[in-house]
Amino acid sequence: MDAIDINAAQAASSEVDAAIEADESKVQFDQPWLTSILRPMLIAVMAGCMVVALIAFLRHAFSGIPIAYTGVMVFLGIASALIGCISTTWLAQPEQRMRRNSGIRAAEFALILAITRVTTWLTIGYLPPLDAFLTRPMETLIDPAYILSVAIVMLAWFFAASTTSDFLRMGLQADELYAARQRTGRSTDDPVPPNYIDRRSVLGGFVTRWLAGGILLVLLAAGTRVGQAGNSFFAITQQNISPAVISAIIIYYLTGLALISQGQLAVLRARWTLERVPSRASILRNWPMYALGLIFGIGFLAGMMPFGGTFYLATVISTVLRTIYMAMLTIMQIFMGLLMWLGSLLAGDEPIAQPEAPPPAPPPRFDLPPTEPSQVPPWLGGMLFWGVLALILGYALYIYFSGRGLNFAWLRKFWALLQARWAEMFGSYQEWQAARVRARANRQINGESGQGLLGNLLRWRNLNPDQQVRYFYLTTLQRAEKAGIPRRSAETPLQYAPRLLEQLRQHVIAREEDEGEQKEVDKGSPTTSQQGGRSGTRRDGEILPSSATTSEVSDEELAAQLENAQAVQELTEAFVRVRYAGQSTQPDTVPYLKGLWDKVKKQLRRWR
Amino acid sequence: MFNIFWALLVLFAIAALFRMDWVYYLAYVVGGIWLFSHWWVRRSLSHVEIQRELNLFAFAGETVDGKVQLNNLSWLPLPWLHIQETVPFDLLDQQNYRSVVSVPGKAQTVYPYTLRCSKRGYYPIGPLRLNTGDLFGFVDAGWQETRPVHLTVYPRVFALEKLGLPSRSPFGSQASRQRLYEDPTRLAGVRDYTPGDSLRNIHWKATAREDVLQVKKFQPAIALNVTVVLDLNKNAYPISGAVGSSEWAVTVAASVASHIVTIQRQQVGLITNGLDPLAGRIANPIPARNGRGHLMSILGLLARIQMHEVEPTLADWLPPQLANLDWGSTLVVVTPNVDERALWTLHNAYRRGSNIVALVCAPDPNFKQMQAQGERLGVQLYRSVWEKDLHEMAAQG
Repeated sequence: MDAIDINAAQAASSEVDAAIEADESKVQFDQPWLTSILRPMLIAVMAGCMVVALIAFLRHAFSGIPIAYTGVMVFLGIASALIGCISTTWLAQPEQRMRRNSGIRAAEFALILAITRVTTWLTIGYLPPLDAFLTRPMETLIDPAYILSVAIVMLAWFFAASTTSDFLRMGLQADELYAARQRTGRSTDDPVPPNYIDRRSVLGGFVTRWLAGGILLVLLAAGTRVGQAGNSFFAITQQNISPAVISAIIIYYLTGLALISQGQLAVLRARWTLERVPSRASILRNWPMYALGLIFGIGFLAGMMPFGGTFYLATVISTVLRTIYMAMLTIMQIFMGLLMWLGSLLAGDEPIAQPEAPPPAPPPRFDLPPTEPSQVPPWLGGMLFWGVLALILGYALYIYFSGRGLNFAWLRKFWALLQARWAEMFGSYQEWQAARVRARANRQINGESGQGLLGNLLRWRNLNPDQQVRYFYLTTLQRAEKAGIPRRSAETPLQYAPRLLEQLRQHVIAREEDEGEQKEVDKGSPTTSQQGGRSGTRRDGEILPSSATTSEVSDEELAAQLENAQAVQELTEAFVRVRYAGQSTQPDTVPYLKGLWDKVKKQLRRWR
Repeated sequence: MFNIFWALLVLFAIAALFRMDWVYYLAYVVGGIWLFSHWWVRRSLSHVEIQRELNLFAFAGETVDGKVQLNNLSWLPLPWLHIQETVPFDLLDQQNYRSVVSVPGKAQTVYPYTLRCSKRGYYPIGPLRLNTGDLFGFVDAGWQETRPVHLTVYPRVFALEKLGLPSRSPFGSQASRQRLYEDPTRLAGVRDYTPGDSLRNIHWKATAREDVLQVKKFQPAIALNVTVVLDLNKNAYPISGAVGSSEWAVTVAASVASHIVTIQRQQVGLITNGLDPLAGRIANPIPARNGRGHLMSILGLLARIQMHEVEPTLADWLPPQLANLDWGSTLVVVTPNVDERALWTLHNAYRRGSNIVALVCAPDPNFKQMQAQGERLGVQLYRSVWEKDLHEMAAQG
């Protein structure tokens, strides 16, 4: 008898206590469970078995599927299951918590789809021509073989990922471990109690899926049979079902049992840890050995059981079912007969047959007008489609492989280079655009409207008298600036007004001289220039017409200049009153000022 | 569990209807594991020999080592076995008394634990519970001990000097003027033999010298028995600190009884109005006897006795208990306080020939007055030191 002495037991117990007491201050993770290799391997094997059985059924149902395609699909299914297991386990690691989002799973799945697409093209041996890629992108991308492949790969990947996730949930979570390490983990002094997982129900869900999936696989295998089974002791070899399929289903059941055993260990282990029950390390060490030993032992014993001779049993069961069916059918017939008899008694005469309705009129046809050929090249859409698809796949590659030892430094450098080239190429355009935006902003600041004259009229008439006065003066300034007589900085309106008037006068004189010379040329006689007029004097706030210096000015022109000087002077004074003196303008003076403004505008227009 | 049974039925139906013999293999495997798990778990617990090793008697302050020994008589291992020992709160010495072990086939494993006996009492240990299950979660099984064992934790025993009580008087031998009892160790002289004298008392040397049969004369002496009266009437104790004072009274009574038996080798008995939880009523008096076995029975009663709320006071309850008291016996009354009525009751016992000593174990502001009055009435009153003073003295060495 293998006896364990007391000292050894006490030492083991104290070791367990010490292990629980150790590192109480820091949060720990269930690393032995997270880093276990056996469990993902079993899940991948299960998924591979499912794929094998499913593909065998599909081959049987669709006889045109080539053998190479099915072989590759088996490989892809197992590979995607492995990727699902590994990715899920990798993402469950504590240091990967920031990557644990749906984006990386979508990227992973997109990559699997891309690989499946390429593999399907290569396996089938039909690669669409380039023009088909560009003109019919969807048809080239999605074909029946690809849909089938995607279905198989999706099934394997989703099964592996979800099952791995379930088993990872059955492990001890960080908050549970933290609570278990606290002496008063369950008391109310913990403000955030851990979110305990019902591992029993998680395991129950897996068992239900395993059983349902197993039965489905058996039914699929039954669908692949082409003939009757033989009735002999070694009937298992005479099922007319591919031995690979049978082996896959048997392995599916055995690995499922091994996974259930692992799940039960997780349930017990979590319960013991959360209840702070010390457990010997030998339990965890011996568990897989016991489980696998039992499974293979029972499997071996089951292999010794008789398999043949199901024919009579099937006959008995079929007879029972047929009898039940016949009995129910007879009862239904009797009831239906009774109902029809009662109905005929109540209805009396037979109903008059209704005339048959005429067939419906055919729908009117509308001929579509002939469409003009598009100016867009036919390959543009396909090119855009493949470009977007390539971008998506590239981004998926970046998401999936970043953090797995690849930092894509060269890709980032290339992207920076592209950005620089782009900026260089379109720099001038951007500068022009920026300058345009700045000019627009300046115009808005200076009160210039982007609308036309009507817009201005509509707008300034809605202003109050003071604002209208400001408008008259500022637009005058603007027009003077356009005419080349801008108001200088630090020049007051009263200083600016005589300068503007002098400039206008000079312009009038120059124009008169030009017209006089032109007349003389036309008449063929020389002209004598007259100098006259009054020299202008200027006082602050008063503007007088200056004398002509180079040519004679007529009386009419002199009167016009006087009017202009008066108009500029009065507009300026009105503006100064409103702007600087804070005095308001009477509404009845606005039309008069408007008339002045019109005169100055007219003069400035002539200046151009 | 897990709908395994229904799945098996479906598999059998598919195998039969579709005539796929290999599906029977699946049914055999799944069903075989399911059946084997049930059989294994149920059989394994019945083939485990469980033995608890525990010292069932201890003094307060001691630590008791216990262990549960599990012997798997089967060849099949037990993948996991959850052991849960039920231990009262006052005996807890470790965080919990649970453990999960794996017992291989034909092997033995031990679950050790310790109990810290901080307080006197009569504690149930157990029932021991065992739980196990299969490797797949198909079935669980459990076993529970039908009857717990009891651990008796005796009260602490101190030397009387430490308690501040006289160790020689009044519990020593008393000289008696009535020569009813003679002390054979103390020879007083010889006398002539008279018929009826015991031959063992013949002094042969004196007979040879006098040539007449001479028998030994012994000094008259009497070793009178001692009866300890323990007052555990809850109403007699102060409301605050009743538990501590009553526990201290039990400790003082146990120390007196131990002193009388082990040091003075006299007979001792116990009368108390406390509740014996084992009997569910007021404890029966223990008549005076000597010997270590008798002392242990007294300590056993003192281990489990509980303070009890009774109607009569000490003055009303004690006289009927003293009706059968031997003449000349010593009465040691351990009580929280002594009032005037109690003094007169004890005085009556004194007048009937008993030696009366009262040990007060709770704070009493009238103690000096009662002590002086007791001296006049033939009742010696002592006040013991308190437990905390005792611990301080022990700490000081």
